[in-house]
Amino acid sequence: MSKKNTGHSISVEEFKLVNEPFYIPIKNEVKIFEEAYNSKIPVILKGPTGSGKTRFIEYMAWKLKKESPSSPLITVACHEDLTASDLVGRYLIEDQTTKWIDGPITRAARIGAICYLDEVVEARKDTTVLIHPLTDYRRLLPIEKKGELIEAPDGFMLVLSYNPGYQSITKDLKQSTRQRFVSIEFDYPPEETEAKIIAKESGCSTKIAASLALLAIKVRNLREYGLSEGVSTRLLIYAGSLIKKGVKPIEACISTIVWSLTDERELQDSIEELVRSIFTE
Amino acid sequence: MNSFSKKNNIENNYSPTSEIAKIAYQDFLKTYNQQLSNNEITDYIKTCMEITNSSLRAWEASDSYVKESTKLIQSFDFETLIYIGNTAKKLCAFSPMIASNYINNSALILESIDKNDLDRYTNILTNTAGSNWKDIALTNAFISVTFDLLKSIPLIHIKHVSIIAKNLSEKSHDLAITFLENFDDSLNNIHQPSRIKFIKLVNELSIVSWPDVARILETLPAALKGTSNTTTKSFLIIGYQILKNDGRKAFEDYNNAISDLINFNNLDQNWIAKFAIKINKLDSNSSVTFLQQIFILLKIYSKKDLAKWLNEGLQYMQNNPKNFDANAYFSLESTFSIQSLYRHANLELLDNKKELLEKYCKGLSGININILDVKELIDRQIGWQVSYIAATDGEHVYLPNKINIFNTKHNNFLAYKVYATHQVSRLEFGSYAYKFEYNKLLEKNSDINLKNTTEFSGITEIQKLFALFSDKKLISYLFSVVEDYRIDYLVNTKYPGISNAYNMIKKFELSKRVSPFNLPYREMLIESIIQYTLGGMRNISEELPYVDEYTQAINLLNSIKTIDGVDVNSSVEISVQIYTLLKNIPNFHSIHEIDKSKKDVVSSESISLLADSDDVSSVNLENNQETELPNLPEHLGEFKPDLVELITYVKNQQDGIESNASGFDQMQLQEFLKQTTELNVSELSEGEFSEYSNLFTNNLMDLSNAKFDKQKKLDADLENHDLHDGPISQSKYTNEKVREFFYDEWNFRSRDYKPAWCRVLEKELDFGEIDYYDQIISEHSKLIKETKRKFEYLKPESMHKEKRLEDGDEIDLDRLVDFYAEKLAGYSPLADFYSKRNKIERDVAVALLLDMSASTDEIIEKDINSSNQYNQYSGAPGTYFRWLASRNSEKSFNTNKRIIDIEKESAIVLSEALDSIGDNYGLYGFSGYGRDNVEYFVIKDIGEKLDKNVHRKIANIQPVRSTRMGPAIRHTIQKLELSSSKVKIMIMLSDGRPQDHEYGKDRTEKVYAIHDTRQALLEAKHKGITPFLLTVDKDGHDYLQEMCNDIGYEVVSDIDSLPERLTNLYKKISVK
Ligand SMILES: Nc1ncnc2c1ncn2[C@@H]1O[C@H](COP(=O)(O)OP(=O)(O)O)[C@@H](O)[C@H]1O
Ligand SMILES: [Mg+2]
Repeated sequence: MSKKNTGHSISVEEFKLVNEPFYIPIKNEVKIFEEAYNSKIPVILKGPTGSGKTRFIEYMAWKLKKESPSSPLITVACHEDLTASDLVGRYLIEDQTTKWIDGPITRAARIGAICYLDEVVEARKDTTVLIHPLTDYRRLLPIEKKGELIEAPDGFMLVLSYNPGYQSITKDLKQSTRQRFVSIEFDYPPEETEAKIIAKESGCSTKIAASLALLAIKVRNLREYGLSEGVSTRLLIYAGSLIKKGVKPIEACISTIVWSLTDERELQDSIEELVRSIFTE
Repeated sequence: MNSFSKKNNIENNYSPTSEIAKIAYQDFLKTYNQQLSNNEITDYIKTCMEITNSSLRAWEASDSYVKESTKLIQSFDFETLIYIGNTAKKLCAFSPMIASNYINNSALILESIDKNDLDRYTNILTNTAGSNWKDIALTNAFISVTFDLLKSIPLIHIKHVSIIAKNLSEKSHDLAITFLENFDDSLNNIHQPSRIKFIKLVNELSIVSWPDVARILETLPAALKGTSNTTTKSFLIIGYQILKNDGRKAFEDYNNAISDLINFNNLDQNWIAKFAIKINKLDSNSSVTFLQQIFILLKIYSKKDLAKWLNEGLQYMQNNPKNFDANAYFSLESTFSIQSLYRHANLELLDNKKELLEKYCKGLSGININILDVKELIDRQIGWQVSYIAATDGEHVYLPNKINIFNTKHNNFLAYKVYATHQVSRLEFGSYAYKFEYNKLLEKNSDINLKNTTEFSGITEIQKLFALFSDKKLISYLFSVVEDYRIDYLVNTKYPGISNAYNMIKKFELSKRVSPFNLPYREMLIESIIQYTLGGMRNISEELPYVDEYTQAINLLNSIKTIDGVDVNSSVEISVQIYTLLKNIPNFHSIHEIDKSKKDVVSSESISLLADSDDVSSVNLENNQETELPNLPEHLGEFKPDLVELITYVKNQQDGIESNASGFDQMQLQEFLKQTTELNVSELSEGEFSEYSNLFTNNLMDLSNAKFDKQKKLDADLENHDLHDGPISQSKYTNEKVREFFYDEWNFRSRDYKPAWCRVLEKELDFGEIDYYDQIISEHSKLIKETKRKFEYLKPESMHKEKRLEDGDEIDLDRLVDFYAEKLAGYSPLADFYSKRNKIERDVAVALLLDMSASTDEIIEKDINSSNQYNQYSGAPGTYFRWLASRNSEKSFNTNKRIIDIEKESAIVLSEALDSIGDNYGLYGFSGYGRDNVEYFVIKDIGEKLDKNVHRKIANIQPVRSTRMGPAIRHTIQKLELSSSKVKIMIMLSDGRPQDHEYGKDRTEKVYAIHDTRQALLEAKHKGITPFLLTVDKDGHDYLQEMCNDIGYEVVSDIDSLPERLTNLYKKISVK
């Protein structure tokens, strides 16, 4: 895995996956993704933060591209200043001459990697201009500035993620874009699965992991009180890790879960009482 | 002989009038001729004569004198006789009737007073007497009661009584007489040493508040009856001070408050008096408020806790009397005070933890749980009865309103948590999910002689089960015990964190129980089992009777822990087994120790579970007592699975969830009542039962209508409000959707909030004329255009950075590099490397709050010079108002507008402008009367569209009643807070005159209202809302202006100036 900085405000991760990423399938997402990959259909991963989208894409990249010599997955964390040329590439000046640098999407299209645009609705609107031609059957990427037209190879796949609960209406994904993708919905895993994930990822005991998973259920019951997303698996893993390091369970939960979720005093107190019911001093 | 003739001589000069008197006179002279000296006889006769001659009908008095003479001289002495005669003579000057009465009562009265006090008595009488008939009657009445009064108070105090009577008679003769007639009774209810205080108080009352005297004479002594002497004295002193310093109204409040005293014991009464007097010494008015609160508080808080709170208040009173509003403190109309009380108290209150527990329960169970005061459940009268323990009806969790069983607040909170957890866990773990399956019961209990039957009595599932047993009460009791044990076990395994709290409470419950060993055997066993579930009874001596059965029962209980997927059915099975076990045990008292052989006989009996079969269990044994089931531990709450099942069924039916359309009829409900063990109906007579059953049915059916009722009540409230002296016009709201909200009010005197002081009733405004809106639009078309244009100009102002511009005030470095690189590479890129700070999306929410009070009905003139109308008027001062009225009607005929018209038109102009730039805005109006009826009219909510309906609502904006600005502002804050916009603005359009019923000390006080309004505006500021006041001012009546100098403020007297002002205002705000 390597982090690359292109000089611009863009965070791109390129993966060389050696070991199988730990991923427990929840429903039929693996199968659907495989079929989409084989049929060259782009995919949208929908779901709240920390529900395993990133982990899933890593896992799928590994599963589908174990044999591939190059990086199987290029991930771009989108933000509001991200422009089309950030994705495609740009010229840099080097000794009075210029040098073209491929952007992540171009690179993925060249090497036939999975290109994962995380939180894509955050990016500027002009990025969709790029996305559209890549999603129809020809899978083309025009690089205007170079006058180049890349035809994506078989191994290329465009994957977007977005979090429906989190975005405002103005930042919703346009229908014309949406309709080009297959969607896979993510939600938090069932209690036992989540407990396994917590135990594995944080290294805490299975008992603690089970309690954390139970707590998660309880806290997610409070979604309607302004915790629209409930508590993410990621936060639970953080709590597990702190406990593993020797922090007292109640304290660990308070700082990772109670305080992260809300600033509302009374809601914090309620969650804290749930924590205190589940964990002993 | 000489002397005799001399005597005779004088004797002849006088003769009584009536025959009886003549005889008495002769007798007297005969008897005392020898004993008295000549001079004395002469004196006597002279006195008689003088009395007779003292006035026209004075012979009556002298007759009385003569008749009483023997008695007087016998009981006292000659000197006294003459003294009385002389006094009578004096009194005759007023009225011979008074004199007669005086004489007739003298013998009696003299028994109670010292001879030396005679002068004093005479003085009292001469001061009281008068010659008109009222004074005569009064004096007579006084003389008549004096003897009785002397038994209650010494003569020196009686003087005050006469003064009081005199005071009263100046106001009402009848009252004075009644007073005299009843005063002694009142005195008798007051401790002897305190009576003078009482007299002093009544005296003051006769001056300050004479019409109340009769009532107070009844109620005050009745209230003080039974209090100790010192307490009585304290209360009388307090009452006196209140009367003197604070007047009639305050005293009335005091008198009403202390009528509660009789409900408290002497210790409490002394305690109350002690604090009351302390407060009274510092400020008598505060002692009234104190007394008005303390009786309620004593029902909730311990004296210890209250004392801490009171002492804190007293300390502030002493140290900081100027800045401390003791009234607000002791009446708990101050947030500071409430917090202080709460801080000092060990108890925990449901009110303070309700929301927290609601969320906690919702989290725990995933069910939407309302936490309610258990009193509400009891009030519904469907079977729950105990106000201090928890319950659930399958939908809500009910908790006591306070818990004070531990000596720290935290532990009391933990008790709440345990109570709530237990109730909610019943729902989570399915305590109410029992399904009756006879065959399953049979197969699991093959050792029990269950009759194979196909007909079952009982309405609910659990009833069908209980109906199989001869002792339904026992089986239902055991089911509770086992089921609670199961819940306890599951809760503590799944939520181990709460175990400590559970154990603490179990220990407490255990400590309250009696020793089982003094109970009859069966009860002993039951009690032992209960104590076991509370963590007790762990080391039982092998010697004890029935120790084997005990062990068996405990093992049965604990088998819960080993059953896979344990559920309510497991509890049923186990309770059936324990039932069988217990049925084998006789209910002898252990002191009737019976021999082992008999016991063995009993246990070998075969037991039938069927109610209709012959019960051959131990019940038939002689000496066997009926089993009295011990109380269940309180933390488990009132568990009524049978009722909950019924209620759930009925509710589902009403909600259309239950498919069985037939439902329950009255017959079935009666059957339910007969079968259930959860209501005590078995002792009712037939008549009582049918009454009860009707009541029960009605209450049950009302359940789902509960919400409905609340709305009805609210509407009724509103109507009542319309009735009382509602000034101005009728309210203009539809009754359909009224929502209530409560807000604090700022009391600048105590510098603190009066908690939940105002009730805002939010409603939609009705529709008005259809074309009003369009009329105004066309009338002000130019103005609206202008405003829109100015607003458009506001639109692009922004702090957001817009990139990729060919022109701008900043250069985007990234882009510039790109530009060069592309250029170097031979392209001709756009020079779009500029950026600009801009607001691309406006994110503003505005609430426009319109004052719809009656005062906005006034006309505003364009001519500013006309502001002082009085100067233009030259007629007589008395006709000024008539002149003004005619002038005003003239003006409305001319196109002069009222304040409300300016408000409406401004609202329209503003709406149009805001709509054109796409900002969120809401339109609201407010008025109302009194603190519990602040009307808040929604014309257009933030986010709602400006459509025809809104147009018509705007048309209906009109003057209604008063102006309580504070709560209206606070409610608007709440509305704005709901909006997610970054910039929030509140504009209030008013005439600048906050005014409402009791919005200040009296009608004329402005400061209170202004302070509260200002405080509300500051609250808005603190919450990131920009408040702004637009005042449509007339005559400089704007009271807000000077106070609100730290709040945005402008005066609009002319609608044409509005666009200018509004745009300026908007600019100011966007600079933020
Ligand atoms: N199904 C799963 N199998 C394994 N781990 C998971 C799974 N779902 C979530 N996780 C864990 O949760 C964490 C957060 O997931 P992530 O993929 O980063 O969420 P997202 O991308 O949806 O915000 C991951 O680091 C991973 O440890
Ligand atoms: Mg992610």
